[in-house]
Amino acid sequence: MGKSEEKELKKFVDKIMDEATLESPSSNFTDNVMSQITEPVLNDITKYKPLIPNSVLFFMAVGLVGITWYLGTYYGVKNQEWFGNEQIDLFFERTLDWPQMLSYSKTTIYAILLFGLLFLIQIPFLKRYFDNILMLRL
Amino acid sequence: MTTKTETDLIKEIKGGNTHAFSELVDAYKNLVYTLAYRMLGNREEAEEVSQDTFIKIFKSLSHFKGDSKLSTWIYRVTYNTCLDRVKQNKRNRTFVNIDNVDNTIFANMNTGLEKMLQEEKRALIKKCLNLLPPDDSGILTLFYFEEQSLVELEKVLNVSVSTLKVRLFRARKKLAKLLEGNLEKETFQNYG
Repeated sequence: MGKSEEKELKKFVDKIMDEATLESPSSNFTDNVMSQITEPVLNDITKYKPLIPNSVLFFMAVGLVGITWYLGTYYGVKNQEWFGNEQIDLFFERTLDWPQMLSYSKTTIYAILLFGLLFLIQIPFLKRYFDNILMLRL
Repeated sequence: MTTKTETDLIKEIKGGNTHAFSELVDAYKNLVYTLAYRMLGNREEAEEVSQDTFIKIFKSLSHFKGDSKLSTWIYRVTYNTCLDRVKQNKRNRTFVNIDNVDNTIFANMNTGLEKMLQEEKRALIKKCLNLLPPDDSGILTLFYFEEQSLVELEKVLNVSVSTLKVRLFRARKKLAKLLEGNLEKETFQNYG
C-alpha cells in the first residue's frame, strides 16, 4: 500500500470514527461505583481484632514454656515431686467422681434432655435474628 | 499536564471527599465504558470492567503525580484492565485477513455508507468496532479519544511512536476490511 493509499485509508477511518458514538453505561453506574468505594470503610468498623495481640500471646507462650522447663529441671518431671504430697490425687478423685454420688429420677433426666433439645432448636433462629439486627445497624 | 480544575478535584479526593470522586466518575464514565465495550464486545462485561477500573483509579490516585493528563492516566488504567480481562477470557475475536485491502474499496464503501440511514450506519460501525480484535479496537478508540495525538497515545500504551503508527495502520486496515464485508452483507439483505 503506497503513501496516497495510506492517506486514503486514514481519511476513510477518520470519517468512520467520527460517526461512531460514545456508549453509556447503566443509569446507576456512578452509584454502584460509589457504593463499592465506601463499603471498605464500613467493613473496617466490624473488622475482627483479637483482644490479646499476637505478640503478647507469643511472649506468654514463650514464658510458659520457659517456666515449665525451669521447674522441670529444678524439681524433676515426676508428678510427686511437682506437687509434693498425694493430696492432689484425692482432689481429682473428689472432683471427677461427684456425678456418681448423685442420683436423678428419670423425669429429671427427660426434662434436662428436652431443655437441651429445645435450646439447640432455638440457636439458628436466634442467630438469624441477631444477624439481621447487626446488618441493619451497619 | 492536568488542568487546574482536575488538580483541585484530585486534591479534594485525596483529602477524603468521596463526592468529588463521583464527579470524576460522571465525567469519564462514558469514555471508560466505550473503550471497555469496544475492547470486550459485551455490555455486561464492559460495565463490570469499567467499575473495576474506577475502583482501581480511586485506590491508586495517590500514586498519580500529574506528569500526564488525568484522562491519559485513566485511559491507561482502563486499557490495562481490559487487556487483563481479555487474557483471562482467552476468547479470540474474529481473525481479520488484511492482505488484500486496496483503496478502490473506499470509494464503493463511501457510496454504500452514504446511502444508509444515520442509525443503520452507526449500528454497522459499532458492530465492526466490536468485531475487531481487542488490541486494534482499543488503539483506534484511544487514538480518537486523545484527539489523534500519538504523543499522548504513547503515554497510554507505553510503546514507541513508530510501533504505534504500524499498529494503527493495521487496525485501520482491519476495520476497513470488516466494514467492507458487513456492508456487502447489509446490501445483499436489503436488495438481494
